[in-house]
Amino acid sequence: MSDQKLANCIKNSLTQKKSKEEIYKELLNQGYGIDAIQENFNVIVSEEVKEDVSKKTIQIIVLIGAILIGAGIFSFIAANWQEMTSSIKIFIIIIAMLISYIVGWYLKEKMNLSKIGEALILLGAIIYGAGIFLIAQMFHIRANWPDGFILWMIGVIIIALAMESYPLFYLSIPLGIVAIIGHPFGIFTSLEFNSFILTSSFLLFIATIITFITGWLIHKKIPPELKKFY
Amino acid sequence: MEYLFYFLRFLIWPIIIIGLIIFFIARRGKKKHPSQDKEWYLSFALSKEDAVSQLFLLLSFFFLGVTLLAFNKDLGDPLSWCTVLFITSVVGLIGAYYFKTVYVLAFSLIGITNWWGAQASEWLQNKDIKTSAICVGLAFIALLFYALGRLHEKEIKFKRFALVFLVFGIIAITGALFFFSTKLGLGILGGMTKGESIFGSWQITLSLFILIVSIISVTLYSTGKKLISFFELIAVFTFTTLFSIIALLPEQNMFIQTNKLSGNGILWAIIFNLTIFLELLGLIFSGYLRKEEWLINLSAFFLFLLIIVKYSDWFFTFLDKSIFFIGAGILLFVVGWFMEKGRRYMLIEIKSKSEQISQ
Repeated sequence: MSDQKLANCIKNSLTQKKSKEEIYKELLNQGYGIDAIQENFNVIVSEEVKEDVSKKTIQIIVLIGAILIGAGIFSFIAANWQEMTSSIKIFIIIIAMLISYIVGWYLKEKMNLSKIGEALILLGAIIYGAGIFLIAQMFHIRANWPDGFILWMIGVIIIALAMESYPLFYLSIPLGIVAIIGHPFGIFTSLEFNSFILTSSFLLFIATIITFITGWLIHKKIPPELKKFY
Repeated sequence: MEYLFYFLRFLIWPIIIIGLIIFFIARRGKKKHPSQDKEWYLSFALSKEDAVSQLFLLLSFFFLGVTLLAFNKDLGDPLSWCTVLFITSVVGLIGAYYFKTVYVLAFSLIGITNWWGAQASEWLQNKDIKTSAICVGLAFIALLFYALGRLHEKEIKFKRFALVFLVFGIIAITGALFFFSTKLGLGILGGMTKGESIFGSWQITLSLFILIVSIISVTLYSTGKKLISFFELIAVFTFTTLFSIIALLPEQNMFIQTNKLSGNGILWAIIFNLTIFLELLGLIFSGYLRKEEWLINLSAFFLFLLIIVKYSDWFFTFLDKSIFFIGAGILLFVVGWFMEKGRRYMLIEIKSKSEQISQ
């Protein structure tokens, strides 16, 4: 049978990030038997594992949900794209993005439903990216295609910093990589009469600064107990 | 059957790369908290924040390189792409040391090495100078990385940097020796020795001189600080001498006919095969002395590959195919048995010694 007081003691020590050896020493000094400590440890660890699995399952389900909703919206828009006027198209994109962000923020911050909230915010970030390319296509904007990925990445980083959302940081990294791989092709293959667009250079410069600042800000958040390794 | 053999040989490098990735991912699975993990420096990242910040800083240095390329293009290409690569790599190195980011460090080192290789090729353009100089310069850089790796072990905060330097140094030198120990490598080495002396280009001569002086001074300094053993010092100096001789070699004809080695060819084949074998044994021994499990595992992996590749290289053509495959099977069993026994013995010894010390 697990002793509630002992279990609470172990849980508190684990939240204080004490090592297993330290916890054992402390409890043995307090007069608990090694078998009782071991039993309680096993119960707590199995509870934590169960909780982790359940959290991950929810995360995967809502993530798939967010992707499916996004795909459904895009397929609906694509099917009816020709019949819509430009203003309706922009309206749909902006409204879809705002709804995702606002509902996601509300669920995450106000209702403490962090997994569903983050999935909706991620959906908003995906709609934002799709919106960039749809608007560029609608108005035949002359730009190098990786610029779209840079704009997408910058937008996602800003939201990620505001929400402290790591899934958004993870999304922005591959977007940056696509831009980094895509741009040199444009630079090396552009000819005199089709020169590399100057706005791209400034956008790249801004991306350099923003990614650097983001890296620096996250670097400052490294847990203090790890500082001795830096 | 021959096609199958060549196909398998072609697959070796992808297998090595995939093997290394699996090795690191497998390690990640049993990761502990860094403060409780004796081998914390083998982790790609110490925390979620560490991983994300390192990736963003890496992205920013990549963006810096592409931004410089873009502005360079806009302004009519005043700089060569090599110069842009050099500037980005140097800035990356500064950033890597300031933020202690291993990802940026790794790519900056690759950048600097590539810059030197590309620059050396440019220096040799329109000159009939031995191209072996480029190869030797790259080998010197790898040796310098090894020495710098050991030097970085001085401080705990540079332990991860040390690992990056060491792994780059070991893989590059082993790869070079491995390549030159094959017939293809010997043929290419023979071709590279054609031409005028390396002293025909002052840039190449100066670069190689600076690299040699750096290797010697860093190695001696590290030995003085007891970071490099006497045995490692001898190994580094032996490799430096070997590659210096290659840079100064007169023209070598490695083959008499298309596929038959000449006297010179046989001599170099013996030298390279012996050197790589001793190098790998030395690395395993060094791992044992230093109580570094990763070094033993990495060297054992390379040794296993070497034995398999050499067996196919030497015996495939003149052994009966059925005997070849039976022999390969037996060899694999023998190598596996020795590796399992030897590796386990060394790791148990290391663990028992460290337990004795902690008690």
